[in-house]
Amino acid sequence: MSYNLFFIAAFSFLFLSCVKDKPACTVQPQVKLSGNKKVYVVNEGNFMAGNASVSLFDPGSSQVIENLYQSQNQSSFLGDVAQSLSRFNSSFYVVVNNSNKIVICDEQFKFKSTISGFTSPRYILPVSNSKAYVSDLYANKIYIVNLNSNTISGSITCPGWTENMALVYNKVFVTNRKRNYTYIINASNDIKSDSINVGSGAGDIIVDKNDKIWVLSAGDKTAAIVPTLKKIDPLTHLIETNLNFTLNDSPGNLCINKTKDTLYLLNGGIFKLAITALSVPAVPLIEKGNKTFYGLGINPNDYTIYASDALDYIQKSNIYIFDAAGNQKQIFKAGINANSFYFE
Amino acid sequence: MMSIPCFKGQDTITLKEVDVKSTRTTLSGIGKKTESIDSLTKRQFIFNSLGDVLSLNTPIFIKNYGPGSLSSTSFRGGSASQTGIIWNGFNIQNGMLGQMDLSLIPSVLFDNISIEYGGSSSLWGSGAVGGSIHLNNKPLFSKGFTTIANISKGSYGLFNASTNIEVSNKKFISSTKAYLQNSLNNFVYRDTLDKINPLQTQKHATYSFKGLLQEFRFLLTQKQSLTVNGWYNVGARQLPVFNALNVSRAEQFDANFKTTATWNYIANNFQSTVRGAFFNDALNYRDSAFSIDSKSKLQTFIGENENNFNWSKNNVFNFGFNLTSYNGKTDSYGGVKTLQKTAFFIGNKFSFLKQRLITFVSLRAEYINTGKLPLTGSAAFEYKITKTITAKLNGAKVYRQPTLNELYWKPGGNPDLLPEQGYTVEGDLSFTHLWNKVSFFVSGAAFYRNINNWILWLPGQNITTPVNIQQVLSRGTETTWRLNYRNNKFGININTITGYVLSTIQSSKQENGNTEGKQLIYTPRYSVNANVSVSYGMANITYYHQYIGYRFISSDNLQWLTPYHFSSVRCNIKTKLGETAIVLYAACNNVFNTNYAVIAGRPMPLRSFEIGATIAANKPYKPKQINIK
Repeated sequence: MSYNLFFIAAFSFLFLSCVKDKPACTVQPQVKLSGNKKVYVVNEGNFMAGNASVSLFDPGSSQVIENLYQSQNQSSFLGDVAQSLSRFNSSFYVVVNNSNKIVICDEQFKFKSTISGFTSPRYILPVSNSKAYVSDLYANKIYIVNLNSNTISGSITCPGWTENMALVYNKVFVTNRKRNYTYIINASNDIKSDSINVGSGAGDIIVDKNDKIWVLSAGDKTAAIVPTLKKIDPLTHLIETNLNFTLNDSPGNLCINKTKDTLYLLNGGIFKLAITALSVPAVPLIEKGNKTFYGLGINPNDYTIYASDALDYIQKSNIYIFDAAGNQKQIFKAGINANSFYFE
Repeated sequence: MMSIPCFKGQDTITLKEVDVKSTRTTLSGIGKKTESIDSLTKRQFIFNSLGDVLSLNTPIFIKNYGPGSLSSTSFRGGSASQTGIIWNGFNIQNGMLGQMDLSLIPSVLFDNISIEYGGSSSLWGSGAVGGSIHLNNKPLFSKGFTTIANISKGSYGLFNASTNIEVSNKKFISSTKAYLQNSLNNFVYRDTLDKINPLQTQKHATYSFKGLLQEFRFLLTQKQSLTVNGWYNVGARQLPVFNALNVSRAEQFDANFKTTATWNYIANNFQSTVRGAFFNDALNYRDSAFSIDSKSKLQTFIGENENNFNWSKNNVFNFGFNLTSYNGKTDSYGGVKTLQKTAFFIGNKFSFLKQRLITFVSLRAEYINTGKLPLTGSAAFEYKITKTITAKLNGAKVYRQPTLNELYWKPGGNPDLLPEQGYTVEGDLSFTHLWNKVSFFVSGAAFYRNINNWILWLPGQNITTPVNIQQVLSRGTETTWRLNYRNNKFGININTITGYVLSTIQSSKQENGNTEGKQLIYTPRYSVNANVSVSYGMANITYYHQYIGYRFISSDNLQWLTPYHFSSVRCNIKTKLGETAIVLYAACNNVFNTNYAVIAGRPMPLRSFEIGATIAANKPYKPKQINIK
């Protein structure tokens, strides 16, 4: 019998020290916003999980509103994988990649309309008051969108994965991740007029203060093609400057400051170079440390640098704010997989 | 429902000379909690996949993406690749993916499905960290000519058929099993986000699985036997997408061929096994909407020798070696990539106190062409405190090697990855008692496991890369309760299995992360499986109930899925028509129409039904002389 008592005693400990299963609900604190210009953070969320979101950060009060779209729209969900956010004609355009749609919101982020029918949309670029281009991962074309009716009105054949776009002198320059060419489209008649060989894996494109085009190509490690940063003249379509990275580099997230004379990019750490630079910098402005930077933005209002760390993909991102000299000023949490910023 | 030790061996005739139940399986089970799926449960799940059987009858959490979709395991808080899947003694975890899709494996194929809890890398190699699932085919000699046909029809276009034809005489067995499962899978589910039309129909989710398992066994001499197996399995399925999307054109095709040959030699105090295996696993993922056509192919070669030497009455010395080679080919590797492993293992079983105390210690040294693997070992003790109480205790060093995808996938693969490794300790105390008509069994287990270099895929600005990033501590308890009453024709079984798992990230090398102390995603802390089974004569009805607690879906534990209850009723009626046995089967799944998802965004069906029948006939073998144990 004593053994049985021992048994019961030994057994009962199995039920001790159990933790409460129900997680504590976190209530969003009341937020008092300042009158300062705001920062919008695009959070991709997780692929197939439908948890894309937009966070609003108020640099004046350091307050964050999470799930801005959800809180302004009776808890409806934005969709699956928010890729990019643009503002045009007093509206926000959120490109929701894996929901194949663009969600249009007013300035308070209240839902206005949806443009649907895309294959896998990436970025939207308004080219006139009534017309925008939309790049796409798989469609092999650029979609033409009517901004009055919010419908797809046509397309321009562009084989490959079309990515970022830039508009200069009524020409749209379209990068392509899968082809070596940046295509040039006449924004008036939607006809491809030319293409420039920029090398493998181009995705980022920026216009500087001299209206020169900068294209960042990721290269192809398996084919031993190094990443490059190229400056292109939008009139002659000639490459004026070509800066080579090394094969081990993996640059991305090309950004430019307010005065459009300094470029920023991620390559592990955060790098900065003048538009007059003759080589890519060897030393980062901001070291990577144990962070894995995922998104980058330069606030045009105060030259601060915003960089997101998506950590392990499946938790809230860290957003670091650095001053222009690269000193960390602040850190706040945004949604899952914060990939870019829109600054008012 | 698991077999209670005292009810074992009721319907098995074993020939002494050829009872070559892999000794390593027996040795590995010493001092460990082990359970096997009993014959009644196997019958109730004859039309289901391995994932379904394990989900409702063990504390293993099955991560099921939906009917016919991916099913992987979380065993005592481990990842899918930290479960050993052992088929007839061969580790069949996929070397590219590091996991098996249990939806593809029909439970009807195996004569014996058993679960070994706890780590046993020193016996089974990489992956046997949280526990191992053993799938065995053990056709018996001298059983005559047997034919079995199973057929069923269910909701949403489910059709299931399987057959087993077995010829078994004194020296030869041929067992042929063929199976087919098709489903339109256009089930109805409730979309809680859609307030206007909550009832939705699953789209683009049809599946078709079929295959053939052939086994030959030869009794060469009284001391030698040879077993040759071939298993071909094909799966074709449409992959549904997240609710918000309206189109998917994604499809997955699996083709798996596995063949093994085993030679056994048994003398009085010496046993030796030489065996080899070749697996060819092809996976093709296509998505015409996105012009994706991704093909991957894996060839696995295994050669092994294992010996057991009974050097005294109570001691067994076990030693051997294993050679395994994985050759993976996919466009994303840019060619063929190879993992080659050589392992040497030794172990010894000691018995003391007139066999009341049994211990087993083992060591395994393993070498791999891509880096270093840890030296692993284990020590286990099993002590019969009284006739009714048994205590078990074991500790082991365990590891999981990086998969080919983790090492070589382009872009992102990290050839510098180290194996996940750590220590595990567990104890189990069980009580079993048999009264006149009632038997009672209860067992309680507690485990503790600390794994370092846990691999996660981390995002970069262009490329995702797997990194040895965190340390995970898993600990918890399991209890099993079984009450069985039988009075002539009437019988009742009540079984309850509880699981409590804390699997938390102890440390992470990420800066300013919010995961330390947090529970791993998709790892429920609480789970309960209970069933009540009532039998009268040849009829049986069983009610299964499952509770799964909160599961976090973000690593900072700020997003989660709510708990759910799932229930299923299954019944069988057996009759005889001359020499032919007929079993009629009916089942209702999700009886209470629960709206639930195991994985976020992957709806599960509301109530569904299935009816089926089994026809079995046996013409006994008439031996001149049989040597029965």
